[in-house]
Amino acid sequence: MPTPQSEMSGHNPGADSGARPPLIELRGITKKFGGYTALDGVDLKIGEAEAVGIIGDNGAGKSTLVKVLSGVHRPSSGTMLFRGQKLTLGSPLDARRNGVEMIYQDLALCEDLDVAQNIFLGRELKKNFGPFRVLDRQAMTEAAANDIADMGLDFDVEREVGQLSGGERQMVAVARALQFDPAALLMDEPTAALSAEKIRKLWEMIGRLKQRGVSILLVSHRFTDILNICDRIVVVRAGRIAGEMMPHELPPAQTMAMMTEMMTGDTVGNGAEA
Amino acid sequence: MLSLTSTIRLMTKVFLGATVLVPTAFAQDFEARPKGGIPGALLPEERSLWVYDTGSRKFEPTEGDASAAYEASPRALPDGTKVGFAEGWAAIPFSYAINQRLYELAGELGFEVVYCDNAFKADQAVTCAELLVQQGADVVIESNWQSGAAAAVMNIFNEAGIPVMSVDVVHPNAIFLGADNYASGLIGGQAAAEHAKALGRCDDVTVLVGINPGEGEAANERLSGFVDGVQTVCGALPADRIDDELIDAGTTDQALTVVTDWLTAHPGAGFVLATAIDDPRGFGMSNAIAQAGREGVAVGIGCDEVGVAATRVPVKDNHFLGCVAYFPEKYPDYAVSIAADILEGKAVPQEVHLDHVFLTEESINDAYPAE
Amino acid sequence: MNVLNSFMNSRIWGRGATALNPGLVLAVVVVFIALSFISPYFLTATNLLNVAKALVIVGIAAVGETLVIIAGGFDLSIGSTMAAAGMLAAYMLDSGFGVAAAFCAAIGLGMSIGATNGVLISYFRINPLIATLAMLAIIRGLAFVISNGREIVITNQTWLNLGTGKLAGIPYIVLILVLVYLAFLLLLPRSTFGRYIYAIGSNARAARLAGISTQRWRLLIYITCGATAALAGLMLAARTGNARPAAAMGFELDVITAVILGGASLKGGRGTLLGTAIGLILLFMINNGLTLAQVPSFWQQVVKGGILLAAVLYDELRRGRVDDG
Repeated sequence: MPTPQSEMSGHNPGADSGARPPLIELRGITKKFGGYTALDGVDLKIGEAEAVGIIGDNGAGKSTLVKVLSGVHRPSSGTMLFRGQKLTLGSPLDARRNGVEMIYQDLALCEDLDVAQNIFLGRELKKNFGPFRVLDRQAMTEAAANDIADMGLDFDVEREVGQLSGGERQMVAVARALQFDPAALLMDEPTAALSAEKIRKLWEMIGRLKQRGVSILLVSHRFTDILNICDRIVVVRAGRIAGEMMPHELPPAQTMAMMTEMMTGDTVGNGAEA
Repeated sequence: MLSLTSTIRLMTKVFLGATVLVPTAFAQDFEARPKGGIPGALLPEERSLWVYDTGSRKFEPTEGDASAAYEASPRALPDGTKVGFAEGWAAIPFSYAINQRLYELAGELGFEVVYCDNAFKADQAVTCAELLVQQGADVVIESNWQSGAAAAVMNIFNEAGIPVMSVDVVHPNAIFLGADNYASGLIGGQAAAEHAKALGRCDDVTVLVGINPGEGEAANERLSGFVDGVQTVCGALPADRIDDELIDAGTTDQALTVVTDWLTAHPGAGFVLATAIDDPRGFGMSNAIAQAGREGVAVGIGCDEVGVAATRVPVKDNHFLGCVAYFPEKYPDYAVSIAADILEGKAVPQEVHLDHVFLTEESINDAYPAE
Repeated sequence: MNVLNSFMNSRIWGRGATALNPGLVLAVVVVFIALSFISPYFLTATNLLNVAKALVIVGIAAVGETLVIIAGGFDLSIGSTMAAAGMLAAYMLDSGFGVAAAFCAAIGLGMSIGATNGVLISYFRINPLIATLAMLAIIRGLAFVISNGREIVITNQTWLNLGTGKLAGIPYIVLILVLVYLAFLLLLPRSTFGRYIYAIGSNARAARLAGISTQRWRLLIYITCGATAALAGLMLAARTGNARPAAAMGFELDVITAVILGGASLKGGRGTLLGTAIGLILLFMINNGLTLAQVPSFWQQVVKGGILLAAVLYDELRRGRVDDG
């Protein structure tokens, strides 16, 4: 298995010296599946503590983009920088090691494992037991219980995930992503399975994360999600960035109109480089 | 197409016949001679009389002549005697016939049977031995047919000091009760060869035997006897006219498959004379010959239900010539008689062999009347 | 009935993927009591040891199979592996090697067979049923090749002694079985190996996304299964005193029956080694008890099949009730 290679990039941020480089920067990322080009020269920056929304039609390349960022797919060409350093992600584990956590649309939880086991899956805490390193089940259970309590929730972390409600599972996935203090949190359609009340809770939590300095990348096809959470909206169409906008600088109705235009490619679209 | 293939087949036969027949045409006379010294197939003069010694937990040789045929006299056993019976494999007819007669005798003579099915498996035979000991068997009829497990099975009975007679497969420190393997094969081979001879095909025979080394050297003697039996009638055969195939599952369908493939691989085999260790396998062999449309016959050994039923069918229809009768239903009479001898402290020949008769379509109803 | 109900729904059975089926435990208790009344020979120390001795071979092989099934896989090649391992060790002893070398080689052969299964299934993505079915045939064939189809009678006393000897009244093979179970019962809840077996069986994609190298862990699981099968093969030969290429034919079915009876799910993600152990005890107690009770062997099979069905059905119904509730 390849390990992440970090090296100083040739890029010299001298022009805006003093400014910190963005947390994540994509330069000319292209991803091809056979003859099909899912991403075509995508440039994207995500700043520290910035919430970026990715929006686009089905098949526009949103999911591929987020999978490149989370290490599931390797780009066919292009460069990825992490805090100004060039980074190659060979697997989801590489992304996690660099502080990039992902919450998948289907949550990617093991239903037969309990909450604590899911939260620590792949990163189990261990302790010494004679000459052996063994799982520290007590520490993991306690830490998981704290996570759930911190999120203002109340359920037994020794319950099987398969017995939880959809909203509870969503929270387990969030708790898992937050357990190791990520720098960035990628979310693919996080509200798809949630009730209105649960969605509001999720937004509150994301707000708190931003305050803690976590960068958020949110993929959704729900305008309201994007408008409520994101500092900046990036529209993807046919594997390219079709445009960006700052929703807080415009009235919501106008933002929505612009987004729709960019997604469908009608009229105004191309000029809107905010 | 049909006529073309048959023409080719005929030409092949003529060609092969011409090349192969030459040496056999000068075949020498052949004298059958059973190998001596094989446990389970000891020649009469090689056998000793044994008495069970409860102190050493061993059969000890004693003075006397063991070469005469043993006369079975089943009789009542001492009060409360438990006869352990580890059946060979309840799923096959030969075994079933022994089972039925033993329980019949138990009813008539009033002894208790403690029973366990070895199921033709080595580890199950060991487990059964433990269970028979557990239930306090006084004497055991052991039908373990996995010869490799014989020592392990006997360790258990020896430790418990229980005298044992083994059925058809030799066990150390046990009276052997069973077939005269070589003799049974010999009469089967002679019958098969007489059939070929009557058709004028003695010069054209190929012998095929289905082997299974796992059933022990004694069982293999049936096959040696068969090969020799054919040659006593048709004269000595060249080595390339005698072949063997492994048929170790003990089933008709495996024999059918193996022999079908063998026939395919031996298009010039001529008149095939085949046998295996028992009837189901012999029947599978005859099926293969019949289904392939080839010439030859198979014989069964044992005359269990399969063998008897197959023998009743005309040989031209199923290519099953007949079977060498072992009369499994007579085994329990011998076994109970031997058990009585042992428990009464009498001497018993270390090997008791049963008589064998070759049964054909004509004679089968005398031995086993049709219902 | 209330007492029974609270007994069956008690938390002592554990929770989640490693919960025991209380119906199974109840069946063991009921069968045990029934057999004690039916046969005067059943409830004695020697006979209970007989049950233990009889289940050793299937029991050791069932360890690896349990892990494989919990991980969502399947291994049909264990019977063949048992035969091949026994043949190899017997052949090496006949050729003048020491017993330690022969045993190591046999276990090594089992691990290689497991590794081959693992590579086929994990890296070439061949369905486990098909891959191990092919291996079943190949390895059985190789078992015949080792000795040219002949069985080998074991004369090495160390090996034979494993099958017949005792320590403080307990047969060695039973001690070995207990040690193997203790080792894995300790290992599974405390190791990433154990944790990932459940994770992979439950949702292999989620495990992969969590950074677990599912391919390598699967490989390791099949290697473990090959190793326990080989050990079972050595114990089988020790018990019967011979190594046969045709040994242990169809054993995989006994092993899988015990594993499924023990509560492992064929869908993966659920099951326990303790459950398998209890399943084994039930099966072999029935074998033993019905034989002692002089029940004809055909009926024994009917009874065994019936009990398997009843235990599995009970578990399904119980889960269904929990899920719907």
